[in-house]
Amino acid sequence: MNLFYKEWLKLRNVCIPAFVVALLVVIYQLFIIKNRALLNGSGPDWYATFLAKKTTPIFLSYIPVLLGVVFGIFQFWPETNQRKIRLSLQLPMNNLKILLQMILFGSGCYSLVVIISYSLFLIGNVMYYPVEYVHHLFITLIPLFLGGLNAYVLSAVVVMEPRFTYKINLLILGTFIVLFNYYSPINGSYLYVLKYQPILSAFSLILFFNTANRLQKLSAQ
Amino acid sequence: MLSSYIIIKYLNKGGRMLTILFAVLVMSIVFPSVNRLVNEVKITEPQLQYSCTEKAIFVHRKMNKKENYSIRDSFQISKSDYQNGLPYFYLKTLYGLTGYPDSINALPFSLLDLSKEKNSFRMWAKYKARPKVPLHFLFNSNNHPGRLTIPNDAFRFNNKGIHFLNAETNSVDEKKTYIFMKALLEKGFVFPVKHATSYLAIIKRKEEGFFLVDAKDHLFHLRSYDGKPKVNIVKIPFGTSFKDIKSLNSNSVEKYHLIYTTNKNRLGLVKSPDYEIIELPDLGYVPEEHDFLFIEDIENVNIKLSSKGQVKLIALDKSYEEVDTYTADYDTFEDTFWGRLEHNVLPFTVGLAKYKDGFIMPYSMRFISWTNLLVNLVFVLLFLYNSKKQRFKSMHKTGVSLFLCLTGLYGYIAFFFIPTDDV
Repeated sequence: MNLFYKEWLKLRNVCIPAFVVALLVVIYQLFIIKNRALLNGSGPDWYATFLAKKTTPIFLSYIPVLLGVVFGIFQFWPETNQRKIRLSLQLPMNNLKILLQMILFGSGCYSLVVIISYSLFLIGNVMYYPVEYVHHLFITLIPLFLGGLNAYVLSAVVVMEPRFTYKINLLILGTFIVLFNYYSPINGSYLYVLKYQPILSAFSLILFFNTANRLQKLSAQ
Repeated sequence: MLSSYIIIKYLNKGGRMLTILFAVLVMSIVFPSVNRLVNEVKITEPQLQYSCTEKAIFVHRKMNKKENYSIRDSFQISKSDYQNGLPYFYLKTLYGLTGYPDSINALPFSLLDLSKEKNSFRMWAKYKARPKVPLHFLFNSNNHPGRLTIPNDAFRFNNKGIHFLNAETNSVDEKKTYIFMKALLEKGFVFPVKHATSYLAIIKRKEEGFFLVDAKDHLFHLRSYDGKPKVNIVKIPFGTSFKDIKSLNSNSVEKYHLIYTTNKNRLGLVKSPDYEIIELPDLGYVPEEHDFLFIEDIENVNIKLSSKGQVKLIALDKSYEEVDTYTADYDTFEDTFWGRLEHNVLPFTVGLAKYKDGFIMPYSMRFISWTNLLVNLVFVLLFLYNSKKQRFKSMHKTGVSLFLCLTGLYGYIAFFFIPTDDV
């Protein structure tokens, strides 16, 4: 519990503003939808929305990855820069458990912010559009959410990595992994690869444990 | 909890190997993409057309800003001969100095006849089941041409029937749903709907509604006249099983309602307005591979099937019987220097989207060949030569060599940039 409080002390400065920003973006997008329906009429708005190759709103797409990177840096930069993690790993607790709790807390905070804002966006859409379209939108938002989660874990990995060359390699690899979720902006384009997305998240997690292990080894030397 | 603990601990140790594997995968996607982005040159496929005057297939190739005209790639002809041989296509040449001729091939010629007969449409090779919002729009067929108004409702199909949704209230329009359900069921329609198609555009000459294939592979034509349904049954040949149906562009000549593909990849046309079925001869058409182009004039129908590096033209007469056919090959990116280099140096390549419609569908563009194995051996030798160096010193020689045999350049780069902790 104390460990969670320690993590909260680091993340509270970013968690609350991030939530406010995400909420504002969602409200802004919902206003756009409402205005479009009012100006064009509901029928033409439906026609344009369902039949065109609609792309996800740009703010909504990039908010998760931005939050992921910010959360990762805010949580793990002090750990490595002020060498707190070396102290944490000396605690009379299992190291894996400590790391798991740290990453769980961070990803939990990130997920809470993004899931709440995305849910509000979907609920807002249910008011204007049929369930079929909202389901389509839901499928579109999942890879964006997972992309942000990968960005969080990978930015933590890059920040924690003790060797500079390795840091650069991981940064390049991590960038490509995160970019995979932004290859196509068209709604619903990731339907067939959704089942493979957790593999990328699992890989990011493995990288995290691997890096933490190496950090621990180097600090012990 | 214990098992997850063991898994995490085990994966923790294999983290470096997994990083290398992912790096190899990322490189197999990125390297060919970058190569194509930087070095790809615009390659135009040869134009094939059947000449009704010469009774032969003309080929027009464009390479390095040089144009080449020939008959079946064998006899060279001049540009003017080429254009004169295709009178219905090059109308300016046909007009010449003295105006349009009275007849071509002993058939009376007039621009009005040509405008009635000239027709073209195409179908792109694509993944048929790409994700779409399963909602449709039925325009009013009674509207004045060119003044189509977007309906204020959409409809969906489910296993039990058809549901109209009002856009104003975002709820089911019970009355309209009942009327349309009744009309369809009275004509013997069996739900669920297998295929549905309509030509969706606001600017079109005429609204032809929807063509639907029911659960028993029967074809129906559904139209709406001021909110009232009109359902027609299209009599199709016995045993036809539909793979795909496509409504045709009603901006051009309203000669055909739709084109269908059967499960055996045979094509057929439904003529307008009497629903006459025309079964095309076996063209060797594969919907997932070929781009299909249909060009019709007064005397002939040209069907062009384009796939990577190959164009096939099938010329038909007006009774849709095969007259002539020719297949022309052309160089693609793989035949250029950079393409060959990619083919030989990169052991395998992965693409993220096969069809250029933006939908993600990873696929293997090419897998390891014998040439690649030889090139990979060079990287194995390079590794063994450098194995005493600090960077590669602590690596397992046999394991790494076997890995490099398969992954070649990718594996070498991965091992070089992701060293062990000892470095």
